[in-house]
Formats: sequence, C-alpha cells, structure tokens
Amino acid sequence: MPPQASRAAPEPMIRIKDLRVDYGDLTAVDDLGLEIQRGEIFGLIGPNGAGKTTTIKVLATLLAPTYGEVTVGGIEVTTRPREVHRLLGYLPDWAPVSPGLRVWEFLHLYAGAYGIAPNLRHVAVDEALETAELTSKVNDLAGTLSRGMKQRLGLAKTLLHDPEVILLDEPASGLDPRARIELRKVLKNLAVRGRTVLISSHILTELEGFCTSLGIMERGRLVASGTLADIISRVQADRTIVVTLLGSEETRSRAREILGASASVTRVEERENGDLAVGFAGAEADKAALLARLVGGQVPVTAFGEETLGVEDVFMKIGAKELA
Amino acid sequence: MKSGQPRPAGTHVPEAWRIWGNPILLSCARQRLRLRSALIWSGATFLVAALVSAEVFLTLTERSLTAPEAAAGRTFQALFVLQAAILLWWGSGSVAGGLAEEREAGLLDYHRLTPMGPTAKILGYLFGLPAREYILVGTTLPFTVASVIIGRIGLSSVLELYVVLLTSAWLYHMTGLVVGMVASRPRRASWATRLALLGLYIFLPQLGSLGLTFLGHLTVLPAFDGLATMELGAREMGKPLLWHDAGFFAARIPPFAYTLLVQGLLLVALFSVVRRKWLDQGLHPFSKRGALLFFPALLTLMVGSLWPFLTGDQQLRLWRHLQLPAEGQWLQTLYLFFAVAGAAAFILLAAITPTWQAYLRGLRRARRQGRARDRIPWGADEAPGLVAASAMLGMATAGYFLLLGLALPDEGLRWSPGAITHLGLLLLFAGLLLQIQTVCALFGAKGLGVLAGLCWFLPASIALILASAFGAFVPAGYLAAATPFAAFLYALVCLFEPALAEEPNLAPLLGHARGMLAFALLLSLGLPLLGQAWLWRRRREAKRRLAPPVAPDSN
Repeated sequence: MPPQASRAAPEPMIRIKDLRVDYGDLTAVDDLGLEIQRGEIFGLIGPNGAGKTTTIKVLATLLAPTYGEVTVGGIEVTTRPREVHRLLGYLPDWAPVSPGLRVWEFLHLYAGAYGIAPNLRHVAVDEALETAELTSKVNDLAGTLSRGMKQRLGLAKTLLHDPEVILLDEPASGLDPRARIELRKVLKNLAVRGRTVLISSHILTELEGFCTSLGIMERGRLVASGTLADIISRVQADRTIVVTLLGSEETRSRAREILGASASVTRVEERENGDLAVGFAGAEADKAALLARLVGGQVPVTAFGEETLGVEDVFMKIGAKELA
Repeated sequence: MKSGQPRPAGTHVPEAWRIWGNPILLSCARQRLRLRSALIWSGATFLVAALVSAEVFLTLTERSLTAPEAAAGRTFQALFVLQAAILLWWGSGSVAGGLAEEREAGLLDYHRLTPMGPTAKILGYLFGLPAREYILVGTTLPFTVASVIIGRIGLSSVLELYVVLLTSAWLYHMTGLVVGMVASRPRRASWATRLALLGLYIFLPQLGSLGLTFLGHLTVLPAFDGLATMELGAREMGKPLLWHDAGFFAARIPPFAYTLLVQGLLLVALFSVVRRKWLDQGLHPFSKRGALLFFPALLTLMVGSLWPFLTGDQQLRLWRHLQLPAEGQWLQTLYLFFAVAGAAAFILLAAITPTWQAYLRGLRRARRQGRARDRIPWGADEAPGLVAASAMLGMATAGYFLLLGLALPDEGLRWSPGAITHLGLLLLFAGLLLQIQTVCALFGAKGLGVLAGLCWFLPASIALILASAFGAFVPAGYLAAATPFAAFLYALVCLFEPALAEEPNLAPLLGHARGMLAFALLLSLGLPLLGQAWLWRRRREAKRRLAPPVAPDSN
C-alpha cells in the first residue's frame, strides 16, 4: 500500500457544509459548517432558538434544508435517507412513547422495525433495558412512566440497534442527577467503542468534562468549534493567575510592585474578595519564577494558580462578542 | 451493546409484502386488542348482532309469517349494515385518530427513522389501527353464515359483496390515514375523517345519477343494491338500480370489475399522498407530476362515464324523468364536466401551489445551485405551479373538445357553437385556474377560503336574494358573475342560445347573457392577471435582493 494512502485524513462521520434552513421568514440555521470525526462526543451548545434542534433534525433526515451538504458516514442525508437511517440513533428532547404499549413491547416494536433478527431481539432489548436501568419497569405501560423514565425508555430505544451515530437533543431534560451521571458513562463507553455522539444542550455545565469537542451556536450560526482548550485559547487574550494573599494592605502593595515589575505580567487587578487577578503572557517557567519572586519578596502567598475557564465562561465571552 | 459486537441489523427489515411480520401492525394490534377490552367489545358486538338477527328473523317469521329463506335474507342485510358501520365508520375514525395521536406525540418521526420502507409502514398502520374493528366484524360473522345458509343466498354474490366491503374499507381507512397525516389534533382528525367520508362516499356518489357513474362506485352501496335485488328480491323491480354493467366509452364493464377499478385508482392516489407525507411531513400532498397524472385520469373517467349517455347507448334516469331536450342534456353534461374539472383543479392547485415563503426557499436553493436565471425546476414543490395549471387547462380543453366531438354530428341540436363561445368557456376555465393559483401563491390556503367565501358564495347568495325577493334578475345576474357557478352557466347559455330562446321565461334574459359572460370574463381573468403582475414584480424584487450565487465547489 502506498504510504500516502494510510496518511489520508479519515472521512468525518458527520459533515455539514453551507447548511441553511428557513422556517417561513425565520432563518433557523445559516451557513453552518461542521465536521465530527468517528468516536467523538461533540457537544452542541447554545441558547434556545440558536438552531441546535434544527441542525439535529436535518442530520436525522427529519427536516429538508433550504440548501447545504449534509453527510453521515459519507452518505448524503437528503438523497439517500434510508441508508442513513441504519446508521442513526435519535433521541429528541421530549422522548415520545406509545402510551398503550408495555416497555418491552415498545422496544420489540423498534427491534423489529430496525431489522434486528428475531432470535437476537430479546438479547438486544434486555441489553437496552439494562443500559437505561429500566429492567424493573419492563412490564409497565409506557404511558404510566414518569417523565424521566420515558426519557430512559427513549434512550433504550435509541441505542437498541447499536447505531454508529447517536444524535441526542437535550437528552438530560427530565433526568435526575444520578441518571445524568449514568448517561455520561453510557456515552463515554459508546465513544470508546468508536460510536460518534452529537449531543445538544442549553445547560452548559451538562456537557463540560465529557465532550471531546464543542460547537457553540448563536442565532443559527456556529460561532466557535473545537476542543474546549482550543476555544478557550481563542476567546482568551491572556491567561489569568489568581494570587491569594495573607496580610495587610502593605503586603498587597508589595505584591503589586513585584508583579508589576515582571515582563510576563500584563495587568494586575484586585478582586472584591481581596485576591489579585494577574494577567499573564509567559511560559510555565516564567510562572514558577513569578511565584519564587513573590515568596522571596516576603509576600505571604496562600494560593497561586491559573484560572481555567468553564464552558459557561467561554459561552458568555463568545455570546458577548457576537452580540457586540 | 455491552458486548461491543455490532448488531446484525438490516438483514430482516420487514418489507411491505411480509404483512404478518410487520412490527407496526403487531404493535397497533397489541394496543387495540388487550384481552380485557377485546373481550368486552367483542362480547357487546356479539350480543348486538344476536339481538339484531333475532329481532329481524323472528319478527318476520312469527308476525309477518314470512318464509324463513326470505327472513334470513333480510337478517343478512341488517347484519351487513351493522358490519359496514363498524368497519367503515368506526374503523376510519380509529385510523385517523390513531395516526394523528402518533404524529402529535412524535412517534411518526421515530418510525420515519427506521429502515423499513414507507409502504410497509403505511400498510402496518392501515391494517393495524382498525384491528379491533376487524375483530368486531368477525364476531358477527357466525350470524351472517347462518343467514346465508338458511336464506340460500348465492355464495358468489356474497363473496363479491364482501370483497367490495373490504376494498371500500381500505379506501375509507386510507382516507383516514390522509386526514390523520394532515390534521393537527387527534379528535379533530377523527371527526374530519367522518366529514370527509360523508363528502367523498355519501355526497359525491350522488353525482352518479347525473352520468358520473364512476363516482357511484366509490361506495359499497351499488354492490349491496345488487345483492339485495338479485339474490334477496328485496325490491320488486326487475333489475338492480346501481349494480349493472357500467358504460365506459364504448365498452361495458361488469360492475364488480368497475368498482375495483375505480376504488383502486382512488386508493393509489390517496396512498401516494400518505407516502409523500411519510417521506417528509413538509412536502405538498401531491407532487406536480402526481397532480398531472391524477387530473387526466379523472377527466378520462368522467368523459368515459358520460360517453354512453351522450351517444345514446344509455339514457339517464334523470333525463328520462324530466323529459329533458337534447340541448338541456348537453348543457347539464358540459356544466357537470366543468364543475367537476374545476373542483378537482381547485383541490390539486391548492395542494401543489407553494406559499410565498416556500417559493423563496426554492429560489435560494436554485441560486445556490447556480441554476440559470434562478429557475426552480417546474416539478419541485417550490415551483410556482403555473406550468401545472397550464397543463390542466390543456387537458380540460382536450376533454371538452372530445365531448363536443360527440355532439357535432347531432343535426337536431339547436345551438350556436361559434369560436367565440368556445373561447369564452375555455377562458373562463383558464380564469378559474389562474384565480386559484394566484390566491394560493399570494395568501396560501387561508386566502383560498376567503376567495371561496367572500368572492364566490357571498355575491351568489346576495344575487339569489335580489332575484327571488325583488325580481331584480339582471343586476343579480351581473353580481353572480363573480362566481364560477354562475359564470359557466352564462357561457353555456350562450352556447345553446337558439334552443333556450324558445323558452318564454328565459327569452328576456338571454339578451343579457353575453354581457354577463363578458363581465364574468373580465372579473375572472382581469383580477388574477393583476395579481400575477404583482407576483411577477415581487419575484423579480426577491431575486434582486438575494445574495449573489456562490462559485461552484472546486471539489
């Protein structure tokens, strides 16, 4: 095999190019471009009305775009939807269930509809029930389940045919905290097994920590995407070191003097709690030297650490920029 | 999933023909046939069937001293009415309500995402949603079998009747699926279906007596009439009124085959609507190509049905009864032709004309694809629909001249078929199509309701009051010219002017007929043309405002 063949970039599992979707006068998604690789957990975040659900519905073949190229597993969703259906698992924010069917009947319906061989359906249904922790409810009528339980049943149905790509639209709505943690575990396991997950939420902390990459949507546009670290480095002009001190105003002045004299410090601000927020543009060694200088200058430092931005901070920064 | 082994999905995807393995059918049947409710419903139906049978049979044999064979025949009829009510009336409501519930809950989206073919999904719902009604009819069958045996009713006639009952049930249930896919609320869907059933299968078949034989065969009634007359002697007339060979052009088609043909055609049309909605809820009920297939099929059925009456092979009971002269028969036939063609065009154009927003979406797509002059392909849902309307006009014109071809050899006909009168009639039809298309394109379906209500029915109603209460026939005639119902009448009156001039009551009005026709033409063509000019400007403006085309991707 020629060496360049093995080095060729893998085909992204989800690829969106120049996507636009209109509802009457409203443009819900405009000029959206996105690539998600196999095995990624991609978090799509944004406020209500940002276009997350619309994007997911186009990927799920449930909505025809005004224009744009959208492929899943290399297959164009608008022209070959039935081939895409085999690859997809989709869970909407309010998982519908057939109220007149028992939990096991509901899952058997979809096991049959997805073409799982009759002799494997029981195994598939049992595994899905176990994953969604619904085994105890197997004989209950779906209509009698609580909101959270219905959401679990929806998740079980979504994972039933072991799809390559899983689209989850606000999946944690209605789930209790324990179920949310379980959901994260399930999604991480799926990613480890090479499944691709696209998950949307407007509760930003929900996605923090387990998404391998993020996309931030505002008013139908993708305003930032990449790993959280990438996005942070883009939105943050400089890093911030927070220094906590013990002692009087005199000590603080001394600390300011020392910090101000350092070439890698860009700014020093005092926060309401007395901490010093230090703008820093140096390397790790400069950071260590800065701490050494403070300690050497008899400044009683009780804490010295770099402030990391969370998803919420990043979103607020990007949101503010967009609105400006 | 835990095992990490890929599931061998897709190898056993249920296809349309594997109906017993259809998961949608099985789940619908499970929901509707839970043991307890199934036992209660079946028991109640069995009891009702037993009571109906006993009431009819015993009353006839014990009090009227009717022979057991004849009494069993009447019992069979009563049971058949009960079965038809359960299967056609309740069954269709269950189908529409059930489907609308699933759609409202979002379950249809789940089904859309499974790799089952749309036909398999539609059949699953078609046979699964009325599962209870099929079982209920089954519980009444023992009494039917007993009636057939005691009444010595011909088995072939009974089989024919039940086949027609089944095909009618599928047709009615498919109507329920169409309504269920469109209506927003389940309860509304159930009642909307029943209204649609009344219109399509009770009111419309009445037009069969005016020569549109095919409409009469949309229901189970002709088959029931045939069995009642031939087998049970329920009527003392020699021949059944509705169940006889149907004239179709020069051919005579047995009623059983004709019923299956007509019901089959409508079933295919309704199926295509449901299928399109399955593929994408946002699609129009008919594609433009589909509409242009359905419209000529309807015209062919209509001309084929009218043909034997116009060539003298058959005579309509109505004409015989009214002793209508040849001109009157022709006037009625042509009016009927334009009325049905106009109604069909109204429904089809309303279904295929895009709203302004949909047109803009198509325009954006065309611009993105770099199409010459941003032209939207004529068959796309977003295309304005003028091409389709023009094609419909051409088809209706062909149908009209085909009918006239029959009349031309009739030397006894007193009429004035000058080119101007033909042109007037066809321009009226063109104006009607243009009105519908323009209003739909500008204001959508609601605009069409306003057009029908305010521009057609209101002037017609006021004209009726003016004419009947005050005898102001001429102003009333001009006022009514806004409605196509009156306008077509004026055009036809002009066509048969010489014959009508002999009628003393009509003679004074005939002088105004041409003026009224000209006024009707002015309204029906002038206003839509103004609307089209406005639309054209709006489209040009929209094209100008749209972002410039993007260079094609080098990939």
